[in-house]
Amino acid sequence: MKRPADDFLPDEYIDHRLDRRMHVAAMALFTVVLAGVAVAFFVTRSDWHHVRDVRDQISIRYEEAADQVRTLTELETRQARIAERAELAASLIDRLPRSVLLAEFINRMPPGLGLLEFELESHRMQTASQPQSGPANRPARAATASEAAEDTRTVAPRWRTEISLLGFAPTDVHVSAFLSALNNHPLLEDVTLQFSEETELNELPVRQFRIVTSIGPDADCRISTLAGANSP
Amino acid sequence: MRLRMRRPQLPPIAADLGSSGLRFLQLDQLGRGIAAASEQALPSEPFDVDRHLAATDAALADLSADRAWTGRRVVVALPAELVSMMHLRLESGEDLQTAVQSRMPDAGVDPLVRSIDVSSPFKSGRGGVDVLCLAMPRETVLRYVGILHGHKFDIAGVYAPASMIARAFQHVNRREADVDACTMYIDLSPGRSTIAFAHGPSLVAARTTETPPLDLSDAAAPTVGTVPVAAQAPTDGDGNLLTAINRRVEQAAPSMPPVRDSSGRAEIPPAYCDELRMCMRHHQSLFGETPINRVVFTGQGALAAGPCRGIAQALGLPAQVGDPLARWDASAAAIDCPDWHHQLRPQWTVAAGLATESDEEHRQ
Repeated sequence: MKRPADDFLPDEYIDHRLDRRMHVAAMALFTVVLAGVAVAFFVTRSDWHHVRDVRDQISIRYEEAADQVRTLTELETRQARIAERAELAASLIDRLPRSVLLAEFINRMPPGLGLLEFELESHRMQTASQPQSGPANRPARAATASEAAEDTRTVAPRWRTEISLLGFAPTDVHVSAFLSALNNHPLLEDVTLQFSEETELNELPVRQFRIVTSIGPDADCRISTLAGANSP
Repeated sequence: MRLRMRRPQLPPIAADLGSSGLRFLQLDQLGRGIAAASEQALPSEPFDVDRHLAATDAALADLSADRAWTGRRVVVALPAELVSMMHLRLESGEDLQTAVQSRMPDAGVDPLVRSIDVSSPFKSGRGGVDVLCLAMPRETVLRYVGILHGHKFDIAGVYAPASMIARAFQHVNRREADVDACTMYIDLSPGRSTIAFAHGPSLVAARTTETPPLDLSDAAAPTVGTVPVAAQAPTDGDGNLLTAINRRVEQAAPSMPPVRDSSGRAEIPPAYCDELRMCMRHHQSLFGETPINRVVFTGQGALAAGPCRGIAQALGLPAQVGDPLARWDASAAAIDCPDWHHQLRPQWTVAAGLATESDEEHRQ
C-alpha cells in the first residue's frame, strides 16, 4: 500500500511489522503443516489398525480353514483306512468259486468237445515295494523293527490264477470255437492255444489240444455273472 | 438478515498527541459520524518529552480499557514541538538527507525526514525541486511508537500536526479551483503555534513558533471524555454565537464560523504578528502567484475570540475559526458531553485531520 509522503512511521517499525506478520504467517503455515502431518499420521495409523484387523481376521479364517482341511484330511485318511479294511474283508470272500469257474468253461464248450485235464493253480502276488528315496544304486535294506512296527497296515492278498486245459475235440473247428468263446470271456486273460494235434481216443481220431489261460487278481466272478446276465 | 460474526470494522483511531492535550477520535464505519471521542487535557507547562510520554502511556492504557473504541489500529500525530519544518530547494542531484543535515541544524542527529513536493508549475523552468521538509528526531518517534506498540496498538501512520491541519479542511477545498486559493492556518495551541499554508487541500508551507501568552479568558475549553465538560459554546463577549458564512450559499454554516469585527480586540504581542507577517511574506516569495485568501484559526487558542480577532485585524485578512468536526454527526457518539456537537471544536483540528486520513486509509 502506498504511504503518504508525510507519514513519519519509521521504516524500522514497518520492517518489524512485516517481519511479525511474516512470522505469524509462517507459524500459521507451520501449524497447518504440523496439523496435516499429525492428521496424516493418525489417518495412517488408523489405516494400519484397519489393515492389522483385516490381517487378523484373515489369519483367523486361515486357521479355521486349516482346521477344516485337517479335518478333511483326517476324514480322507479314515475313508482310505475303511476302504482298505473293506478290501481286506472282501478279500476273505472267494471271488472265484471253483464250481462257477468250471461251469463257465463247461458252458462254453461246443458239443463234442471234452476235457481230459483241468489244472487250476493260484499264485499269491507280491505287493509293490516302497519307492526308494536314496540313490538308485544304494543297496536295499530291510525295514527296521521300528519301521516295521510303524507300518501296521495289513494288505489284502492278491492272487493270480493259472488255468491249463487238456481236452479233445472232433475237429479243429471245435477247438477254434472253444478258443474263441474263452477269448470272449471277461475274466480270462491271455488265452493261448499251446498245441492241437491229431490223436486217437478210444480208437477214434480226435484233435487233442491244450489251452492255457489266466485270471487276473481283480477278477470277480459275481461281476462277470452279473454282466453276462445283463448282456443280451 | 446477515449474521455478523465480528464487530464491524471501524477506521483506525485518530490520536492527536498534542502538547496541550491528548485527543482521540474514531469515525463510524461509513465515515459519516463520530463513533467515539475522548480528550485528556494536559497541564500548561513547558513541553517535556518524558512527561508527555508518561501522560500518553496513561491515556493509552485508559483507551485500551475503554470498550467504546473499536479495533487496535491507530493513526498518530506527534506534538508540534518535535517537528522541524523548512522549505528547501533541492538542486538537481542533491540528496534530501544531506540537505537536511546541512540546512536544518535544529533537526538533530539522524532525524526522520519526510518531504512534500511543493514545486510550483509556474517555476518549473528554473530546475531543481522545491520541497517542504518535515523532520522529527528518530529516537523520540521510536519512543512514541514503542509506547503504542507496548499497548498492542497497530500503528497505521505517524504524522506532523501541520499535515493534519490542512487535511482536516480538505473537504471544503475539494474543488479544482481551490488549488488557486491559499488558506493560512494558524493553530493557536498553548506553548507552540503552527502556521501552515495550504493551496486547496495541499500543504505547501509550514512552520512552528512560540505562542505568545494570549488572553484566553473567553475560551470555553469544552472537553470530553476524561474531564467533566462545561458545555457551552464560546461567544464573542456580547453573548452571540460565532457563526460562519458558507462560501457557496453565502450564509451561515456551522463548520467555519467567522470572527466578527467588533470592538473587543485583545492585545496581541507585536512580535507574534511580525512573525506571522514574515510567514506570509515567505509564502508570497515562494508562491507569489497564489494570494492568501483567508486565515483559519485552529487549536485551543481559537476558542478565544478576542485574540483571533486581533490577529486577523493585524494581518488584514478575512479570518474564520475552524470547526472541522462539524462535518460529522456526533449525536450518536459515545461522548460524555450531551451537546458536544453544538460546540465549536477548533482544538480537534489535528484529530479531525487524522480521522480524515484514517477514513481514507480504511476505505482503501
